Amino acid sequence: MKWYTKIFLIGVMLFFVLPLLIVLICSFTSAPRVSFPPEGFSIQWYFTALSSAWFQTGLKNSLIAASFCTVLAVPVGMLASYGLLRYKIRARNAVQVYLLLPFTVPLVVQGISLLFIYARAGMVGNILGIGFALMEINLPFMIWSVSSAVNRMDPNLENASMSLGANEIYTFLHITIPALLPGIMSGGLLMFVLGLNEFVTSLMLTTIWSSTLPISMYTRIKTAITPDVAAAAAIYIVIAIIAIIILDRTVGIESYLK
Amino acid sequence: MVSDSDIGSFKAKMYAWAKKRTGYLLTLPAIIAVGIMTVGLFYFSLISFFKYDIIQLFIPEFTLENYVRVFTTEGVVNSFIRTFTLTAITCALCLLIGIPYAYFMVRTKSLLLKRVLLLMTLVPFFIGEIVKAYAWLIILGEKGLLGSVTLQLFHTPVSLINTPYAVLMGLLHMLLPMTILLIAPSVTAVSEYTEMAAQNLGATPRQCFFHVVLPQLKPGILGALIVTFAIGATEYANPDLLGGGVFDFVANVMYMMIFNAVNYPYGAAMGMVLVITLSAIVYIILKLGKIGNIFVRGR
Repeated sequence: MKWYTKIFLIGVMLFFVLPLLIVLICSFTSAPRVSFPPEGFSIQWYFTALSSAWFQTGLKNSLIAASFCTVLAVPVGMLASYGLLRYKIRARNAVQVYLLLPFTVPLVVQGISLLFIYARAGMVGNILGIGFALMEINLPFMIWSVSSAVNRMDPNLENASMSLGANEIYTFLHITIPALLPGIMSGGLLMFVLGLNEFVTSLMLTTIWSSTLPISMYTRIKTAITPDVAAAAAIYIVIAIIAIIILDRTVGIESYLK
Repeated sequence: MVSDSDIGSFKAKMYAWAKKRTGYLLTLPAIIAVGIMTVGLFYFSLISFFKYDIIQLFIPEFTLENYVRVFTTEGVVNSFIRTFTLTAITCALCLLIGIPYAYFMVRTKSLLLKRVLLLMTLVPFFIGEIVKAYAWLIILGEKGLLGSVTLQLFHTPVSLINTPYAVLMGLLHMLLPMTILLIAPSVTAVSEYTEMAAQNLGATPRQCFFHVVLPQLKPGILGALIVTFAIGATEYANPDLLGGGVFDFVANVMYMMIFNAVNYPYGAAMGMVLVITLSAIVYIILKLGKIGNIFVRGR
């Protein structure tokens, strides 16, 4: 490898992780405001964050919303991508373009559109409503990861099962789902982590009482300069690393290259 | 009376009906989920044609006034120009950096290097925009890395917060990992034999990359371009936190119009212009690239 290639790759990697490393380092400051390099060393801001109301409510709401989002997204996304790829659908291209709407319609617009519906249904500020919104805006990711698993699966497996006398439902439950499991796992994990991190759409749909952690952090950044936000951010970085480790242990991160 | 055999044949008919439409039935939940948003979007587009009213918020009377105001208000037009210019610059940088990065990541013979390159891309991908924007606030601020370095060098701390450069950094940090992850699979799909063939026939590595590899990456590159452009041009958090109100994107102006000024029709008109402009850009990219679909890559 040429020297300039090395510099290029190292430079990009530093650009990716250096900002996050700096947040991690700053969260251990002992000073009452964030600075780099940090002054002193302490873990007091973790205690401050963990014991404050904004963090606790935010984390609880985020966990509920992201879990609900994942529980909905797994069956919805799995059935849709399987149906699209393995069955005859006359308007397949139209359906695919339609299912890509969550990616092409601006998130701010989607948030306000859902706000109109929720206002009619009396669901503004409902944490499960936020969970549904998180599922809807990220659904293409779920469909994508299951689709690539469907594409990689050998259709002869299903044909064999059915020619041996199993019906379609039995085949789907015992042959198809296990074969698609890596795609379902990585898609579900992605939905959960993206749900925990989602900001714009939640900003439109939350009230003070139902604000999720990213919203609480945003409000906190705008009003206070204390390093407890750095501690909360550091927790997010740890969650991301844990998610990547789980992903690597179950399906292998190399699946992102295929 | 309904006999058992009637029920039986009814069941059989239902089964046959359902079996014929399995594909449609399987996609139905997803269609409904997106449909709920689409109904709201329809309502949103309707409001953009309504008259603004201080007391009732809006009166259902058809008017084009809101759209005229979008195109004639200098601040709003400028926010559109700002949004699309900065997003275009960011996306160009994403492709410029992302294509070679993805290429090296997929093609390297060293498994360790491959995994490290992939890992470094996945970490920012799994972290939300608020955390990332906060990181850039610390780096580019007066009390941060940039401030302390410039204080040492020039004896005055420099801050890039509330400048376009800060917003650009935030956007790039968000969109570059996505670009790489969207392009990598299409690099994998390029057969190494075509590269070997080109090199056997005397092509230099450079010629081989530009004339053999790059054309085959087109669908992946255009897909990445569409996704990153759509996300970048509708960004809210980065311009808000790193631009500090002096570098507002369309989404920020629209948010203020709807939630602070409570002028729903005007805000909705702004949103509709954004939706339509973006759709047009996506359509042009798809047509120019002559690719039908980037979504589900069926056999």
